[in-house]
Amino acid sequence: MKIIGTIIAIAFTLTAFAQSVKIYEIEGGQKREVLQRFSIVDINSELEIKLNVDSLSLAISGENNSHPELQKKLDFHTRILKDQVEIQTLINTEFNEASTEAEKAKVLGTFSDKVDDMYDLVAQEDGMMAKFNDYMFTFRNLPEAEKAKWQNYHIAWSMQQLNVEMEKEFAVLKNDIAKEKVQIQLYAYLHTKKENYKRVHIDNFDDYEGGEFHEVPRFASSFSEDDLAALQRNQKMADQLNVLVKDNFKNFSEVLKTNIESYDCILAMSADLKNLIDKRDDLFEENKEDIEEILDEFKPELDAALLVLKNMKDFDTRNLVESFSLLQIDFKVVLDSFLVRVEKSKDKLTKLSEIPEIKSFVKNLEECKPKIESDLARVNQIIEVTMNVLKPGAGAVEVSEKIVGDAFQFTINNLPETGYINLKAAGRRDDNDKIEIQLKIIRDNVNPKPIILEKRYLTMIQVKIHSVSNVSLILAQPYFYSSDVVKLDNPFQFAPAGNLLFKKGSRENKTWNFINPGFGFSMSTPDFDLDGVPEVGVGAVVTALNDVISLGISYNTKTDNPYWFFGLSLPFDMMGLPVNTIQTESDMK
Amino acid sequence: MEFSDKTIQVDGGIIPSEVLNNPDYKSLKLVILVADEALLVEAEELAKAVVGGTIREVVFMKEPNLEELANQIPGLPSNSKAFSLSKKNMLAYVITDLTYPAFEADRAFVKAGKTKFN
Repeated sequence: MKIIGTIIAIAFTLTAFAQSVKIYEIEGGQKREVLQRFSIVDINSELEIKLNVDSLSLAISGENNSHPELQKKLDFHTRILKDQVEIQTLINTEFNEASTEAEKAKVLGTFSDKVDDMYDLVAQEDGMMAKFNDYMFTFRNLPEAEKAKWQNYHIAWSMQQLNVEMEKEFAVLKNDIAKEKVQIQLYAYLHTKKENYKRVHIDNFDDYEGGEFHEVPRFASSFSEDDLAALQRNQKMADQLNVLVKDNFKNFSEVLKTNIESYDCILAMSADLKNLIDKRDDLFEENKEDIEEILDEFKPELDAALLVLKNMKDFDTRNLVESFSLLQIDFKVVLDSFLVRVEKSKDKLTKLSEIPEIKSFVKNLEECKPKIESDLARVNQIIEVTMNVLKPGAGAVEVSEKIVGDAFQFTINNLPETGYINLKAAGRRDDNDKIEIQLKIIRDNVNPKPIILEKRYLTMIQVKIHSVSNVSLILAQPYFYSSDVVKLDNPFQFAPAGNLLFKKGSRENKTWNFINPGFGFSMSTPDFDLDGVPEVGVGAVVTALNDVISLGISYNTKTDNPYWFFGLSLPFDMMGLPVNTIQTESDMK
Repeated sequence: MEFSDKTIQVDGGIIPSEVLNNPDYKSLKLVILVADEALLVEAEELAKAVVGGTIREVVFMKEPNLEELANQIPGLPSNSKAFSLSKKNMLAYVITDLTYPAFEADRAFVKAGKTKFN
């Protein structure tokens, strides 16, 4: 038994040929393989990356088809030995332990099914049948004591003989790959909603500086400053929505216009530019060529921006959602392009900024730029949510390639077997962000450009029970109330809400993680009596889809009645909504 | 040729019922219909293995009657040189080519042990 166990360790290293990279998650002292079909890990865990040199040799040789015959042979052998570990385990641990008829039948069935699959493959090639026939003949003639070590059955011994042959074939392959000077590198990248391809350090494989150490907190027991700020913004948004609902969305275009911060400055700049163009012959004598070039460059960009603003003014409230969707995309494209133009012309403008008229234009430009950027950021957030709420992770993000060290290059002969990634040192990350692991090769003598041989994507989530805080905008409907106290005209009222939610992730159930349900407490501030002072409501809430939607029941402590609510929590706040116009009963009179 | 107790020699044309349904135990059987020494030797060697606590036996039929055997074992082809039976005496595998006797004998025993036959 001991000898067979040793043989498993020595010879049966050739499993899982399909993958050169195997990943294990180490968390709380436990190590578990991250199976490719799930590829979900805890966000605060450590990853162990195992490289299978034999599989890698096959993949490298397969990449340029350098050893077709050997490759074919090894592929075939690999398929034959696919289940060898399971077969060995059955022989070693369960053959003699089955005592009841049911246990015997189960062991026999499992063993026979697996060996039969193997023999079906062996029978596909005359040479392989001959090989196994010879193995059995040789085994039969081994000394009895030797045979006893193999449970008096050839199968484990025969598989080991095939492994030994494969080891020799692999040695030839590895030697050739080493001669070809193939360099091997392992990279890890972090993909978050804010940036892509941020390099992550892998112990033994690179000397990148580690990212910011960040342990994603497991329990949120109170609302963060961001939550409280969002709650305030939601209060204002709720107030405005209540007004808009009352006016049947008639003032939506006005609302949009009022709240685009860059609206006024774009108008001012456009006026500046028009003035400069109109008077260019009088104003500029020196550098006229340069100035005209700049004016010509800026004019189409500003005209486009003005057109978007005009569209905003003439906003079609009959088809609210579609119009808003088109408008936000136009806004993004045009203002993105405008910012690019500003960057491109920066040097020329600086050079000419001694001219008073240009100085004024530059000043307006400098003041307008952060406002445009701020508006763009908000529009981008809206686009990301509206376009991708059902496709998380597909949003537009920046590509970040911060090179702060080098990935080591290895040959097939000195490649470390194991690398480690501490996710806590990978920097800021959130649930459903991804880690990408790339195995690359460089064929120095053929093509210096790296070739990606294998990629793995891992989704990071909080697996254990954890709590999060969340702010949403709810639509509340009171019931069992006295009309003396609750004075709403509409059956519903918008109100801000803060939730403290409990959640649990799954390493295997992607649908569960996608729905990402949360259960917890809710606190909201409706104004059912319309006195302009929000009341406090407390209750229970259920959320789904990363807390984007919520449903709950609460109790208004002032008006003394319950209400149910439906909520939306989107990562944008004041976009298009005026401030400081709280609706009160007196306003309505 | 000498045989061990792993090989049951049958003189008649069909398999005796006490061999098919031994009251003391159930086994996987490789029934050999031709006097091929290589096959008999390899089969007996393979029968020494007790796989998953299940006994393997070789049944050597010196003068098989293929017509009657086909009635006894439904589905048995006329060109059979050997065949294997599961614990439930279901026909699992038929050997018709003896180029690789050891491999064929083991494959026959393995097929007889498959879940679907037992």
